[in-house]
Amino acid sequence: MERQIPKTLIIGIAVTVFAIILIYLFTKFPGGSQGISTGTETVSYGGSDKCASCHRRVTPAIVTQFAGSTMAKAGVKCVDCHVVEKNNPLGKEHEGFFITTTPTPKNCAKCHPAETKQFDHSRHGAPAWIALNGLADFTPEQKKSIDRIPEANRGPNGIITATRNSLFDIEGPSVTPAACETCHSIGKPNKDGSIGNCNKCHLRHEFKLEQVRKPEICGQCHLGPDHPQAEIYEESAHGVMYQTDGEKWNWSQKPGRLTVSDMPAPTCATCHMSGFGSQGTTHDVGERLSKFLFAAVTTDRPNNIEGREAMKAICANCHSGPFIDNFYSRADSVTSFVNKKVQEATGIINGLVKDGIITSKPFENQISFTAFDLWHYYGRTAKFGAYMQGADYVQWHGVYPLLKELNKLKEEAQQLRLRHKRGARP
Amino acid sequence: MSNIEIFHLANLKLPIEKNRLLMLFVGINLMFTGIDVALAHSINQFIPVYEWIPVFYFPFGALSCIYIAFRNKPGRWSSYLHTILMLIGVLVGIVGTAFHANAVLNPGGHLTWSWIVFGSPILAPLAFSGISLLGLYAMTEEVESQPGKLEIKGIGIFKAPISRDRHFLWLVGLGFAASTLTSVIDHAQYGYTFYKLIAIIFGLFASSVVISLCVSKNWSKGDETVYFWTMMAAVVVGVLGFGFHLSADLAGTGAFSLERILAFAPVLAPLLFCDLGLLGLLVVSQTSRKN
Repeated sequence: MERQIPKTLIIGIAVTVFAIILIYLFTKFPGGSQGISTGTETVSYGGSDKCASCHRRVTPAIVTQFAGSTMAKAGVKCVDCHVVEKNNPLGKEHEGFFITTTPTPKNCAKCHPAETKQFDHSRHGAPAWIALNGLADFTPEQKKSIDRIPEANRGPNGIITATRNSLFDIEGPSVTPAACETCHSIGKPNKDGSIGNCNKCHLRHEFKLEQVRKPEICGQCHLGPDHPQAEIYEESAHGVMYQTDGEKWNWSQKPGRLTVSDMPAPTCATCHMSGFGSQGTTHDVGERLSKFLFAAVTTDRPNNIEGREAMKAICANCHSGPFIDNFYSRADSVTSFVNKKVQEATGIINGLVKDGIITSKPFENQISFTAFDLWHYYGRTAKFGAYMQGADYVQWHGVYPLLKELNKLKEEAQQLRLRHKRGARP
Repeated sequence: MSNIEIFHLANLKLPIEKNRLLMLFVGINLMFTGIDVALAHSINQFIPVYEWIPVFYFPFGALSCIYIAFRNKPGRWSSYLHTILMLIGVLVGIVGTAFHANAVLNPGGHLTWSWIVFGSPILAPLAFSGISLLGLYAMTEEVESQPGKLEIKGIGIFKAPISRDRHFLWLVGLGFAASTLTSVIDHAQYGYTFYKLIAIIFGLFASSVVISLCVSKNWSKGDETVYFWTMMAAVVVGVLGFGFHLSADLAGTGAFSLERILAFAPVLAPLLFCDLGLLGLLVVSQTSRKN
């Protein structure tokens, strides 16, 4: 009997081939898959929204920015962030609504509770403000939440008690709002009980993923002689790759999907916050860190082992195990060296205080400034440079001026002792 | 014990009869689909609030199916309850599809391909409708020698345009079609590489084989053989896809990251092909009770 090809087989093959051809043609035609883009596309903003209809005339930039944002595309409206309860101390009557002009993390937490919680747990939260003004501005409830942050109990100079920063005191309200507060207000307590400001990184009203992933956003604050992370990154190989090829990277890739195909080299966000490889996204910027590099004398963070392993897991996306271990070993070695020198300087200062030659009050005499510069500028620069592949910052902006400053401090101490011996006032 | 015969090609002994196996199959499916939905909706913390609907529904639907599967003679009230729950399941799927479609097709009033490809999967909620319909049909028995006359014990007799088995077959065919379409859209996100085409090509082939049998009045032995091996291949393709998705989620690190499992390649999605393959074999099997 003649064997017939089953009709299902014929139909199956025919339909499959036809459909594959259709899909292929679709991907080739303009407006086909070329129209598929991960970038944000301008959305015609809902005219039914009362806020937009007025603000389109009064503050058009806000409306244009928001209209093109992924927030708008997700259906978030102005009232979702700006309207608050009647008992909110930050609220006010405005055109029939009770709004706040400055949404706080309490507003953001409605849709982003995990991110807000992680932020609260980090040094971008309360510790950032504590570094300026101690615990004075925090309510008892806020202080309770701060107690739960393992890293919160150390001030910038390693002292456990969180007191007001002396420089902040000396410079005063004429200067600090335009200076220290601009950056450190990322952790400022708010009257509604929340702490911090998400807008520092997530610039309103675009809230672009691309913005928060690029190093410039962190470089708003993490730059300058006391913490030159932006400059160090620029010097590093990662920074060079960003500068030369960054325009080709996929900046808007959804969180949780980022791979080396999207970003072949890391930026600040990639290493410290993004979900990448085996690590999930975090808004706790200390989660992948192992040391308090900002401190005068660097010590280990409370979860230093987990932090280091988490960061190594990020490095492992591109680098081999021995390379990563060697890198950390060298950076730790620089840190130990800087620690010794800073401890030596601290010992000299403490000796002068103990002998009654100078007071313990900071910034009362020139040697106090020298001691501060030594660790606050050069010591930190060397350490940050070591952990972020900035060789020049380790050497010529870090260790060399640190040694020079230490020498200067020793000479100043010697002068003070001589003058004290002769009975002169310091 | 129950002797399952799939055309002339396979003979299996199972400890449970076909209808009960179908009902159990539906219950397990509802459970896994519900868990998958719960994980997916947890990505944005179940906002808006109606993302909770399928999460609240699925335990009731699944439990009802499993209860009916293990009852010798489901009572009148359990039949009523099961029917209502399955109808709710159908509704949950349709409403979910409407929500997904609205989110994707109307973020600002006009259609954009990027939202169709990267946004909520429009057809995914229809899985609830399909599985619930299965659960509904599995409850029925065909009145002897009257194809299309379906009886739900304790409730009544209903007249359907096609036989009970054809209903099942259509569900399998449409299931393959919906899964294939979802696969085409989702795999567009990162371009159609070779191993992604496996799912698409096979899905297209399987959909057309099953649907062509649905519309055929008579099946040849060759058709049965093609159908049988297509269903077997579906199981293999599903497992392969699971492996590929898991590999992508592990990102070459071998380490488990919940965020990637949720946001990147959905691990349970390829198992739909396994599911449909097994269902496809089950619905065409003939079973007789063996004393």
